[in-house]
Amino acid sequence: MATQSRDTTELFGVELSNSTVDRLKAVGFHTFLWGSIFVVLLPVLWMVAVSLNPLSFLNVIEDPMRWVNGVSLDAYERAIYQTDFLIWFKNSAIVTLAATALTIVVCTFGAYSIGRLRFRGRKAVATFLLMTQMFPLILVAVPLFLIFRDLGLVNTLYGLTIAYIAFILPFSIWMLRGFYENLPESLEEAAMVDGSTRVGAVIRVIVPLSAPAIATTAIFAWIFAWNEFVMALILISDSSKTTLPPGLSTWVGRYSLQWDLLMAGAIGATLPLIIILFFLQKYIITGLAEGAVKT
Amino acid sequence: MARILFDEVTKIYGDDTLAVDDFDLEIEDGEFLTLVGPSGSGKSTLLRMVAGLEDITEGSIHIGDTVVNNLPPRSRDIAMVFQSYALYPHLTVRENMAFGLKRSTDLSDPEINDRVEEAAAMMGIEPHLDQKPKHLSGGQRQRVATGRAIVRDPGVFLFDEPLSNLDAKLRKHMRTELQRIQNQLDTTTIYVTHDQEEAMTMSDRIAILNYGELQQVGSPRTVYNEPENVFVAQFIGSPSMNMFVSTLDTDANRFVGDIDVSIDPERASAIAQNATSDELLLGIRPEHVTVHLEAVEESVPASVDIIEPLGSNDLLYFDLEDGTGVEDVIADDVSIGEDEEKDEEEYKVFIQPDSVPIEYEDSGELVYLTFDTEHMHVFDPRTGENIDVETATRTTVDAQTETAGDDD
Repeated sequence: MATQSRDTTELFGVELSNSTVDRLKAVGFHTFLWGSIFVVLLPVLWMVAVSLNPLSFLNVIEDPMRWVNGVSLDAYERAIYQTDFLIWFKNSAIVTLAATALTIVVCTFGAYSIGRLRFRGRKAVATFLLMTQMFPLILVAVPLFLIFRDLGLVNTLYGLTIAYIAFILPFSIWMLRGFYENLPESLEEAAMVDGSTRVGAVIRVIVPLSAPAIATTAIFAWIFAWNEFVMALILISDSSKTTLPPGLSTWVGRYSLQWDLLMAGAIGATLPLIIILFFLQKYIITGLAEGAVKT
Repeated sequence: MARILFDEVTKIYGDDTLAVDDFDLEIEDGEFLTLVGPSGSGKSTLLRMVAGLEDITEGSIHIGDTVVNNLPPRSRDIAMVFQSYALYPHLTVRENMAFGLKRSTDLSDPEINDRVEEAAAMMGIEPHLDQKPKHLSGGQRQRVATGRAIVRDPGVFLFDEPLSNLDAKLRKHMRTELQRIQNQLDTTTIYVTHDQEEAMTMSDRIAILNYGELQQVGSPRTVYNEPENVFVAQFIGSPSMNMFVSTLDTDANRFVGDIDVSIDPERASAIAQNATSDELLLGIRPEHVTVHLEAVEESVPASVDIIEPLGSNDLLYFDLEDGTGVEDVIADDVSIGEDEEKDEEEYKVFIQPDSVPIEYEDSGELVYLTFDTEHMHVFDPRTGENIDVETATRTTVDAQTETAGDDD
């Protein structure tokens, strides 16, 4: 025999009405959710706070008004007018844009050839590409530096771009390859019967259909190139040629640390990424879920 | 328009799979030829070789007077309708149909548009011209795919099982429509299907394939009435032909075994001459068997398994008392088709509705069967070949009579 009516449910030993239980569950869920978001965003919030007023954490907790009264954009002004920040930003933008654009062009056809064309050694090439991802960046940095030095590519933005493309391509090709393998082959065959060459079929049919996957790959390439530190540090020695990550690291002095300047620079470096991710996030979701289910 | 010639065409895939073996066939200008066969028989491979989507291992394919072996698909003057329709999802119906014209002709945009609208009118898809394929039903997509092919006015149409994704009713309707269009345009057409009914109803000629080998080519009537081997006999016709195992007694001019039937002495001696085995396969279609409720002269007793009502007539499945399995006598290298392998001793006969009481079903009650030996085929189980010269002679006479009738 049931001892409770349909309108009540037992929660942690307490008899509650169904609507109360639903509300409590929603409150619990949202508390957990917002709590998690707060933990993740706390460093970002602290970055903004310090860039406006470099007070210590304890001081802010003790007297928040002291922080409010001391807010200024001084650190941003110093970053823009008294350092090479804008040059580094420009260099980062050039290298990232060039690396992303070239990666997309090369990996569209590279992934297509590995995903679609039947040739001897296709699997070996694909496996070899994946193997290159197993080495840590720092491991290949020294040999790469020696090769680039001999080729005269050291301390140049195009040298850095080439290095980035070399590192981004294998993973990008693997990402796109999976997508191409799931596209019906008959589409490009129809295009070829309809008068296109194979390259024409790829450009007119395959590329438009793989826009979400290509966008995901582009975002991946962009994030890698924009944030990369080790290569830029090793291959570039001139401050006028360096990019944001190694540039900002030069502000960390041995005896002094200008936290507000550093945080202002970090925000300036993060902003383009936030803007791009905000607009393209739907493609990342679509792109990553691609091929998960048969459509 | 163009004639197509297959000259000793062979296709071997990379892993040494023989898909097509030494295939010879000439398709006349304006002819509608259907390639039919079970899965893996090589029919789609042949079509794809004509389209240029598959390399030819040996031999050559001619379209018109040109050997096309090394020509890319775009240079072959062909249009193809795929099983999946292969409509470009990011383009509208209009753009889908104009795609080929833009790539393969130097027509101006207004001229292309006129051609697209003309083809759309022919296919009845004008209201959908500005829609994307995802908004169309299966039947509409099929029409767009066909429209995309006809708008280019190619020398050859290639259809790769274009109706297999449609429901039965729509499939029958589209069958008629495709036939109408082919008649109207008079374009050489190769149509691939595994559905023998589709092949029978649409084609000028049918080519039956099995394991990459051409089994027989001829008009639908020819392949139905004069199957050259046991595979064709089984594959063409629905329900398939009954196969009985019997031995020829040349002294008595009788077949004795699963069924006992008499034939005339001339035919008996001709069969005996051609046969390489004592036990032979007698092939009789369900419409050439008569069911009696009482024993009559030369009748064979059988028990009723199931009676299936089909509407205008019923299909009666029967069992013979001592039926020998076809599998027991047929040589290992002779293919009899999947149906027969699965339902080794499933015998069928068409009857008038209610002519056999439903109580007979699975009751052990006997019916008595007589067989129309005029329409009986005799196959050698060692070679699978039709060794009944009588059939060939008779059907030639039939064909002549038919032609004479047409002239009247």
